[in-house]
Amino acid sequence: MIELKPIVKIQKEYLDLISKYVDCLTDEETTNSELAYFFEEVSLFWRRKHEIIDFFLKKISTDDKCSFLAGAMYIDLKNDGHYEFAPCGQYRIFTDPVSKMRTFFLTESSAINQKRVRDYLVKVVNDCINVLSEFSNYFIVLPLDDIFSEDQEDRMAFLKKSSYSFISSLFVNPCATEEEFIDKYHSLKEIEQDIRADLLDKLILNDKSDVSISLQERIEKNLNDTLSLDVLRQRMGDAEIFLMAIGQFFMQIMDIILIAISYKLIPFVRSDVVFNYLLITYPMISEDKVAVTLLEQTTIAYIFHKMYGNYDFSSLTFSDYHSHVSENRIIDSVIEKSRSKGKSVFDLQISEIASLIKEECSSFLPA
Amino acid sequence: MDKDKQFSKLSDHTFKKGVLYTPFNSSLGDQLSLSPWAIEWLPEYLWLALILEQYGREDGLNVVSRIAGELSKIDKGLCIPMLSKIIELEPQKQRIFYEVICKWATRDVLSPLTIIYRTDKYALFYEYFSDFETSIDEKTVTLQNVIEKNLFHQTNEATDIRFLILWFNVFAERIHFARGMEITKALVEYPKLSHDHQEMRLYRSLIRSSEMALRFREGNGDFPKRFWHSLGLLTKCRTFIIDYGEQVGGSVSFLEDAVNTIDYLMANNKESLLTDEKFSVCLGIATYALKIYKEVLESRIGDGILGRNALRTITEVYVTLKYMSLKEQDQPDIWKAFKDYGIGKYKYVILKAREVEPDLEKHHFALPVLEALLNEDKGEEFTNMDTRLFDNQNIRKKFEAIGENDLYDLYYEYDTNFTHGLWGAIRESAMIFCDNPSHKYHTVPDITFEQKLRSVEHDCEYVLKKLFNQLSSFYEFPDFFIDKYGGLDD
Repeated sequence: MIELKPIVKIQKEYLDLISKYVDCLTDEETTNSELAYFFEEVSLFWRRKHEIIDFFLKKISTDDKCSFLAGAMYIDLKNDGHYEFAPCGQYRIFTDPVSKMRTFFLTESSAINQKRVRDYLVKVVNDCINVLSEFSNYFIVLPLDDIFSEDQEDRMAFLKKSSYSFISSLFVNPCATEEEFIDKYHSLKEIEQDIRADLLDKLILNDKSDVSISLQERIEKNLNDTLSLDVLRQRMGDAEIFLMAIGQFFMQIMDIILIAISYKLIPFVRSDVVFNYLLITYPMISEDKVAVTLLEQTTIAYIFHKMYGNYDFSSLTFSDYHSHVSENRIIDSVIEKSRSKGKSVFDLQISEIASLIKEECSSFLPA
Repeated sequence: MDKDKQFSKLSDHTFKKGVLYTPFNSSLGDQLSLSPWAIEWLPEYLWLALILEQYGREDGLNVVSRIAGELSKIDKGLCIPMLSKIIELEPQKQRIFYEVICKWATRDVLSPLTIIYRTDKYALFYEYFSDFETSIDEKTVTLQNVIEKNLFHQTNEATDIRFLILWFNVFAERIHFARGMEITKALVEYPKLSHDHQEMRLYRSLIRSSEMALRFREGNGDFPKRFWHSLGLLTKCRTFIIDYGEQVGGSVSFLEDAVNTIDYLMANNKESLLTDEKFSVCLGIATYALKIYKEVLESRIGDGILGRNALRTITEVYVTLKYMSLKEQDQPDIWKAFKDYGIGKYKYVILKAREVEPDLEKHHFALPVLEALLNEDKGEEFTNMDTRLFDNQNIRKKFEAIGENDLYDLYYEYDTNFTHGLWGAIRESAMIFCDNPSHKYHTVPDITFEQKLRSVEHDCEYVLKKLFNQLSSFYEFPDFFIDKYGGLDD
């Protein structure tokens, strides 16, 4: 059951709220206290709406075909992210990027590149404003992360615990606890040597080219966006750095699965790295019917994104495009066709799925 | 019930124009304007409560004393405890006020209030007391703790705040107490003594009454309302379900014994069953009550709303039965009159149905069956509709007449609330207490249907035994029943 009326109202109010802060965010003179006030205002805004958002999310069923942008901070209108997201679901939610970014500013760490983070904040806020101004009929912004705030501690503990179980399963001789792991390993090289050979290639942190570089290089490349490895090494050992760098992906995936199953939302994943970790963790949840139903759709949407991610949509207005892909029709159709072959989507070859997608889209997305 | 508490008895109340007034309201009447501490005044003084919470009673009183003392030295007009008045001060004076607070207390003490008082209207307050090291959650929890301790106007913590309010006014020379007065002594001694000290019982009440007198001079507009509104929206309801635990249930064996007794009475009074109106009515009433009781047990609705409706009906039919037996001497045909009255009521419904022509496929009454019942004893053209039941006596008088006043007060009157859906019943059964102090202990609808009521099973059986006792005075009961239940009235 989808009850949109109050959510539509909230979208407008949220747009008004963040629009007021654009100047403040772009002004280089803005102090950290002013930024903190902005985050507080956003947080208080969502808290005031908590009950009705919770109601909206709790009433969603798998039949409502509601999706959420998973593993990405913002839709990215500039790079046609809205075109990629549109085929996934009848209703599409993206997590409030401001709420997500708050954690970067809560950390007083000097290792964080504040300038980069602030520029990024401006970018995601502007994207959010543009989505809410121009595409509010198609996308919904909600604080999906914060909605669990009541059991935030339990949730984090669960994510951390399950993340470590995944990590330890990567090793030839797994350590029972994190403490044991930290005691055992003193360099990234030692860690790399003990990781099962067949899984090392799956430990992608940046993109597929990671397979050709060492574990340390992967981590350095990944951290460089916000942190420096050298600065980090002053505060923690290599084992801890590894757990943090790899753990964040497993925690992210567990978080995505938790949100998906809790609220019956289809995760829309467009990041190769995130999708890669989803595949690694899939065997663990493949018994859960709801999860399988949702992730089947995730897979089709991901393959669609891989096929049309670089497509030049400029000749097609978004509303025309939406009329072709709305109501989850591409995904539903592919699933229906796979069923008619007596198979689930997961039984098909990627090329088969791609061919079914192409069949559906060729009329409005010519090669 | 807490016997130490002094409550007015029912007889202490005064009945005026349909209302039973409490002795308190009766004497003061419309002159009394209640000013609830929690709702209207606590938001004004939470900043004082936060200081006491942070530093403890002794040091906290000391810190506030220094703040008030210094403010009064700077400008007596600045020595005000009400936050709504403080934030109305011109900016320069506000700054002085906040500087003084920050001199004696750390600024994070008042930071919980910054989730309510934001920069749009309270920029200066925010400037001085914002603290980003503490999360919104932590600030909310602190506020809730402080509110919980001070919500009721007579707690020790609330009295401490009320003492500080007086102190501010004394420092500002807005109030004066003559030497030798009890209140003067109380003001001097109060901060020195712990709440356990025996003198404090008197001092606390003096402090509270003096502070209350001050309130009549002050007005604070929408300030408290806005506070509760802002804080209320930021926090979630905490529903508090009352668990009644294991309860005394009804017994299936009594039901079976009662059914066997009716069976026996029918078999043993076959002739009466065929011709006697009284016998028919008595057994009809008893069976009707038993069927209700069986539904209560089988459907397990004893702890639900319908259970109370069931008990009320069982009680009412018992009273009707006993009342008819009382009136039988003066009105021998009372049993027939009872049936005629009931059939007359049916006739009214049937005539209405014929006019309205409802969709009988969906409607809950079976018109053809009802018509057959109407015409059972005589043709409907000869059946009048008597709007009076017996002597038109009201239900309360009937309970009185048969000596069942307690049954009226504790069963019928209470359960009628549920039948009529009056607020007491709605509140008890369908609304749950919210244990969140920042919501001022409001109630929330029980949409998860978790709240149960005390079960009526035992009471249903109690009234049924009375009914069977009445029946046994008319007809010879089987030995198995008499042996087992003997004096049913007990």
